[in-house]
Amino acid sequence: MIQLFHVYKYYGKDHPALEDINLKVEKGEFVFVVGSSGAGKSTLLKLIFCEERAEQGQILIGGKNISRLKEGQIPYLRRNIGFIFQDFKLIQRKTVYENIALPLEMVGASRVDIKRRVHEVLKMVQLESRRDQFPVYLSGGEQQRVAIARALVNRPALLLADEPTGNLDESLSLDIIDLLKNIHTTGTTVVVATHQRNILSKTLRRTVVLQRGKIASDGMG
Amino acid sequence: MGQFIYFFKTALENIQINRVMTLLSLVSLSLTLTLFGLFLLFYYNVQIVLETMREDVQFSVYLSDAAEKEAIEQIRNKLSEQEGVLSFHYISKEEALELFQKEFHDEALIKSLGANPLPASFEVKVKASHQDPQKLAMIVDRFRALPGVEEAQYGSEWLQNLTAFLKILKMVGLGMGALLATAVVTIIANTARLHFYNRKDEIEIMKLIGATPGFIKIPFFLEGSLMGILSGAFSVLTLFVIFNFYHGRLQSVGGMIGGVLNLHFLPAQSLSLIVLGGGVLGWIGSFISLATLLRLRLPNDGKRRR
Repeated sequence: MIQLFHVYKYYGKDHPALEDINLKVEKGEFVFVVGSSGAGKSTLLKLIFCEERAEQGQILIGGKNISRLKEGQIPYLRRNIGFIFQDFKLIQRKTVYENIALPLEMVGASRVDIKRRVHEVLKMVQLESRRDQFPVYLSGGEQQRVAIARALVNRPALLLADEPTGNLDESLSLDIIDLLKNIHTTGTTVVVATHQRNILSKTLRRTVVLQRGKIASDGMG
Repeated sequence: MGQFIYFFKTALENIQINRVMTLLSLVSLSLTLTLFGLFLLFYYNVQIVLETMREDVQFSVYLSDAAEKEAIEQIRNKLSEQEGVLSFHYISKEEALELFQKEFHDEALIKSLGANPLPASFEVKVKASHQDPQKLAMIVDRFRALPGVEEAQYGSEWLQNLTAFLKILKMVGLGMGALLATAVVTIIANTARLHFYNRKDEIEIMKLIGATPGFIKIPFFLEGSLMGILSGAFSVLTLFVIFNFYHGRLQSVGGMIGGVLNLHFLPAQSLSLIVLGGGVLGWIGSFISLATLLRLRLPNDGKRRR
């Protein structure tokens, strides 16, 4: 699903964010990317998501080399990847329903399909009763579940989560991780970047440890 | 269709979010389009008056006293065959004198003329399609050269002035139209850019979840068009009120100076031009304004370029 070959990313010549990253994530895998702040976790996900470009190396997503992807093609790549952000990135002026429906509006889905799909994912994240609320009236955990629902509504084959529990307390964090695990059981490839080692201790999954932009270890956590 | 509903809803949402700014822009746009409409109204009425005057365009073929009957017949035949001639009639020397007597009731002057010095003539009315000074001059020259013709004349200066005046008016109209169109485009471009920046955070999120630049921008183009159409409709309404307010007053002024000033309101075609033109200009304004946005990307090193 994801392949990185000798990937380098610099923020200025003297600040390597990622150095010689070689990584392979198989279809249907659940992978944690862990490391302290500044280790390069977010940069790694941003490269896969084409939010930033690598200086060197090749990145393949579903067999397609995205290293030289033209700017106009990036939106279409993103439509096939669900991305969950630490700060949720919900549109405050739109209701829960409208936020989740947005990716479907982009692909021109019919009203009926939008209604059906949004209802499905709202049920999955257990927020059916909150569909007409604005995000500001939801708790942090609920907002993150809305963001997850939005990431899933297009049925992406790959789900990336950048510190999805960074703004949540421990019990809510574990709820979110459980939700991600449930999503994984439907066949979705899930990559979660986190610095919260406590959530890893509760689950045995492949864990890639990043230290100062390099892969320090890769194995079952 | 589904996407259009989304675009339309978002455009209306934009207007609602930026109510005050939109209202101010609508006022400026309506005033600008009303100004253009007033000019159109003036041009339209002047054109109607001038077209009525044009119907009277005619020329005279004066015959020499020595002209033979056959020569006169030949001129008559040529006039019948001549392209551009609407109608003509023959005025004999006697009829010419009678007309002269009717117009000048001065017996002494008529007696002083002695023998009838007025020539017989053909008075020729010209079709609207041939009232162009150059075309008319060619026809008149053709008749001037015929045997039995003393002189052929038309009010060339008057006709040329009339044509030149309409031409100038048209040029002024085009210039003014271009200036006002630029004003409309600029106002909408500024409004669209401000509204766009107002939703910058949302737009960033939309880009992250896979929105194409087109998907993001179309509601803004639609908003520009809606504003243009709305201001066009407002300006048509304003024009109608202004027209009705001044119509009666101007008619009484016309009556005072002895003429009839019958003003006409703009035809439906021109009114729809104002409304739809506003819409098109709105689209163009927001398109120009947002064309270069969203293309900007962060440099790879995350630093500002110097």
